[in-house]
Amino acid sequence: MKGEKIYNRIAVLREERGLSRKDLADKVGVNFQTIGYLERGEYNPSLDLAMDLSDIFGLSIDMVFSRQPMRPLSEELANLKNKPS
Amino acid sequence: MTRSIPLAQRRIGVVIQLLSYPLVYFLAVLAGLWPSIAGLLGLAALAGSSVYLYKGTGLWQFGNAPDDQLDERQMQIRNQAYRYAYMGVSALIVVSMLFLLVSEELKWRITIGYDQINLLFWTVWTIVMTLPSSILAWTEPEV
Repeated sequence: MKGEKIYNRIAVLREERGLSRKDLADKVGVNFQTIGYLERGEYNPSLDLAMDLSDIFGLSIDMVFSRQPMRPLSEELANLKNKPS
Repeated sequence: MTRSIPLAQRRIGVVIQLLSYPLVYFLAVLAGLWPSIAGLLGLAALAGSSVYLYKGTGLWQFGNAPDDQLDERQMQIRNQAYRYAYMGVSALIVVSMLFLLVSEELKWRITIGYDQINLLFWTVWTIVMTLPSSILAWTEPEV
């Protein structure tokens, strides 16, 4: 069963934290090539792996993964800031 | 994987690997060699093409490793390759059986001796043994 495409910010978040694909792969216990496939959107992760990756980045799962193409994080943060509380 | 082969080259490698045994056997017999020598040459060609295709690429381990040595994506792709291999072998058996049935009905004269059975056995065996890894080598995108 092929699911809908899931977009993610893994590449940006990984680069920001100065991690190589191998470093990130070791942290979540997958092959480094799997990180490459995830970053290019060629593989949709399991919920377990998605949660592990979100934990590593210290963000909620919806900040890392989305069914819609991802907007820049700065734009999203600005939107959150402008939202009436 | 430490050594990577471009996809187009890998696919050519898969075709050569799967056809190496019957092709070399056939050519060697045509050249007048004994069938047993032809068979050995065919197996050597299969081993050579397999080493080229799988040594250092990690694709052989990927196709044959137990679950605990693979991550979730690798397991998913490996299981898919096994499914395709199963379907391929089943189709091969059905086509062979249909061919035998039809040839019987149409009274085609097929003389099958030890050498032909030997060639058929080794060809099918080598395909069955390497098919999941061959499918992975054919389908895995470039890194």
